[in-house]
Amino acid sequence: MSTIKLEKVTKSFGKVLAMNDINMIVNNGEFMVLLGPSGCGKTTTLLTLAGIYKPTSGNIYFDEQIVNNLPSKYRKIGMVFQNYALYPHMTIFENIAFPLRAMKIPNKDIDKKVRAIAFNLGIDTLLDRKPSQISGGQQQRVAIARALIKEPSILLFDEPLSNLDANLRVSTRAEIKRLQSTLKITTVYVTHDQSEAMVLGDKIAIFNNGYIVQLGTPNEVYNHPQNIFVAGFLGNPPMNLIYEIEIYSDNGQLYITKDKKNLLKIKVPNNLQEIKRDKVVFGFRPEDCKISAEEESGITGEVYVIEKLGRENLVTVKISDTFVKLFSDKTNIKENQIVTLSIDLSKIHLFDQQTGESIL
Amino acid sequence: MAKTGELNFFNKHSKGIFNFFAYMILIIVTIPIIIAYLWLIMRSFSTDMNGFIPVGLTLANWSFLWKSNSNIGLPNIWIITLNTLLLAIGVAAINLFLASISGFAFSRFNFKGNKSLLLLLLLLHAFPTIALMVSIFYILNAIHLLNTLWGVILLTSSMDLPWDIWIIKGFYDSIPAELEWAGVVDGYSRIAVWWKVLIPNIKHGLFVIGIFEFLAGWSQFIFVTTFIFNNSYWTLSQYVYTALGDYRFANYGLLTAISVWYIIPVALLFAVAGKYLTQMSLGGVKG
Repeated sequence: MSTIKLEKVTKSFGKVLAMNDINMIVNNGEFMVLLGPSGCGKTTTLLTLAGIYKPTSGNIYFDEQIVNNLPSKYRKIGMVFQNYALYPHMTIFENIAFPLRAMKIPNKDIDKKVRAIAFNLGIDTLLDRKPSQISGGQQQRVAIARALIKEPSILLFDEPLSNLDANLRVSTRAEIKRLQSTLKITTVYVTHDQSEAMVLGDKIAIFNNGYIVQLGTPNEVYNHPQNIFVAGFLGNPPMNLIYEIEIYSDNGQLYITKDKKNLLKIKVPNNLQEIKRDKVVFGFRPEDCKISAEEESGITGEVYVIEKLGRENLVTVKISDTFVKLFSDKTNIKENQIVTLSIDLSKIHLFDQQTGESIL
Repeated sequence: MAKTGELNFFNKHSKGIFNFFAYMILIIVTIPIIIAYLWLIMRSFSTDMNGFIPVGLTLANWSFLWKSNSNIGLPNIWIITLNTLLLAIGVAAINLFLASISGFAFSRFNFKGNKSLLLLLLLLHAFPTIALMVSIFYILNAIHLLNTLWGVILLTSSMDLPWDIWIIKGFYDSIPAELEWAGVVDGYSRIAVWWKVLIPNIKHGLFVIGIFEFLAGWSQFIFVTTFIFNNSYWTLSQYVYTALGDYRFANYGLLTAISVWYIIPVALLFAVAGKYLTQMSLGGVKG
């Protein structure tokens, strides 16, 4: 059990800044997900925690101890890699036993521990095989067993599910979640899949270009994105964003317009009325919006395409030059039809188009 | 695919027919070689050959193994065989060691000049050895390794080392860095990871280099004949060459027996290692 603290950590490779002023606290037993597109610095952060990279500046604390230069073997970490990194020349038994051999534990105890953990993870029948002789899902379990066998204080996962097929990914995701909540080991988990992040994380740190752009609980980052990047990254499909929006107030009502057409009348918080913005970005989530074929007050647009998802349809509507997506179970909506969108005004988002920051 | 019932003779027996032709070609190609070796072996156990028919079975040709041949300028065969083994094993050991550590450095460390050094290595290997003989002579003389087995061992090693490093670097390159990270996270030092994780995974490459360098040492002739003057430091290649002497007066019985003696260890090596050599293309990391 350990607390992790990163304090103004940067890491550069030559001129490339992979981690930029990273501040983060992972509390004891917490599940922290590092989320972001590829090349955003999340894996670098994980490898810095593992002791494979040393930070260029700043400090990393495990509990109260600075571990910047502490070799990996003293960090009490277990790690699961994206391609599992099982040792091809060893049997599954030897793979799982490898960390224990480094600790010079007697053979009898090693045997007992390996068999116990293999039994718990359902891989006890595979112990005599080589990694190339078992399936991807089984390799994944072996990698997890190897990470857990030395009873680490911190667990690190580097995109552990990305090599599995879709069904297995969902079931393994649930198992990892259950494993972590049972063992209560402080965990840092890297992924580029936002649904994985939402399901697994107690907290999510969203990375972009080496910065943490937002850190919070899944609810916070989903419902209150601090900027356009987070809004556009989370959700499936992500938040609808309409650019080039202008705001003006009239009689205490705030209007947002695009192309000089009044799109929406909104009652907005007082503080916003004082802010004069040239251009803003208007955002709303697909699930916070209803579509109707009748003329109502709201935003009008033309149905572009309807995708059947089974339980409901994903409808793409063209508003002026922007495409927005939303869910609907209505059957009377047809392609190329003019429709009205009514948006839940309590759940809209406005961002400064220049800085990308949320202004609501 | 045609239905089973519609298969004609060639469909049904396609594999057998393929194998038949494959073996026919192999037999035709290897027959001259096999005959040459058979002739060599039969001649070494006979007083003369009448075409391919041995005449007069004898062990006299093999007497060089227990009788001195110093009257025709040949040293003790056992010392020479030991020298040859030392040369072959020495070259293999030195190159295995140096290639496995320098290949690692070239593959894993991003030091300044990594790429240009690699290219330089390849360039070094491209020089014909024979063009360097005079300068090598001076250098060996200057460092007092002229007329020593050590000199020949180091020379043979260094000539092949660039090539070996290239091969081994390729094997290291095929191992993902994550495997090394996993070892470090699992509680081992970088050197321990190298020994316990990387070396077992490049063993096919090491095996190939070991065999090739053993053979390079075993068959080394040009350096032995040029840089060794004392016949107690000879190797078998020089021994065979001397036994041949002037072809008009050569004792073919002795010559064939020595030649067979020279071939035996290599044949044994291939008998044991042939299986691994054909597997070498599978090298690197699976999964």
